[in-house]
Amino acid sequence: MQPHIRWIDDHEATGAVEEVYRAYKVATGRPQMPGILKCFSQRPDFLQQVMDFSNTVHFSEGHLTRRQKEMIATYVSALNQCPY
Amino acid sequence: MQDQDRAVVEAISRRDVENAPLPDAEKALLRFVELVTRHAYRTTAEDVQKLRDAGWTDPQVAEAVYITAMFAFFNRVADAFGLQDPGYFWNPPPPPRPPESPSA
Repeated sequence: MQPHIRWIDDHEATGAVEEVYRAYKVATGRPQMPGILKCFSQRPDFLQQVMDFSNTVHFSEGHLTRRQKEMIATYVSALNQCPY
Repeated sequence: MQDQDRAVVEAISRRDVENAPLPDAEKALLRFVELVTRHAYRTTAEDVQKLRDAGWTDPQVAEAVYITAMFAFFNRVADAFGLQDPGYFWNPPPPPRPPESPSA
């Protein structure tokens, strides 16, 4: 899929981008970077922070359960998809 | 994912909270999530009080706002880059540090 804005794809990643991609794939066992994360590849330093804060608040227990947070995330994404 | 969860996901993906098989408290929370998503400037103290009345604590409401705003952030970025697939957000990325206590 070709994004509207140029991003660094898995096969062309070098330097800091390649490092962040590799660490993610090793940790998750995923062979390919998800699209949403490649959107941040123009700033790999920021990409790392985006993954970190996602882990901190979303992909972990907190005041809400993981299920409740996933529900909120799914609903927000559904709401944002329809032009309002 | 059990059937009930699937029914919840389907209803929510159709933006049909009222008919989702969810407890009233969670429906109230999702109504607040919609308010924050569509017109956060209109939220009032009464909206939050309704959530307290439904049993939610302020830390839980605050966290719901963080998740709501965070996914608005991801949605905007994904749309701007032209990502079509709604499932664009990933499986959970790794915890940055090995979890201290083994999760249940």
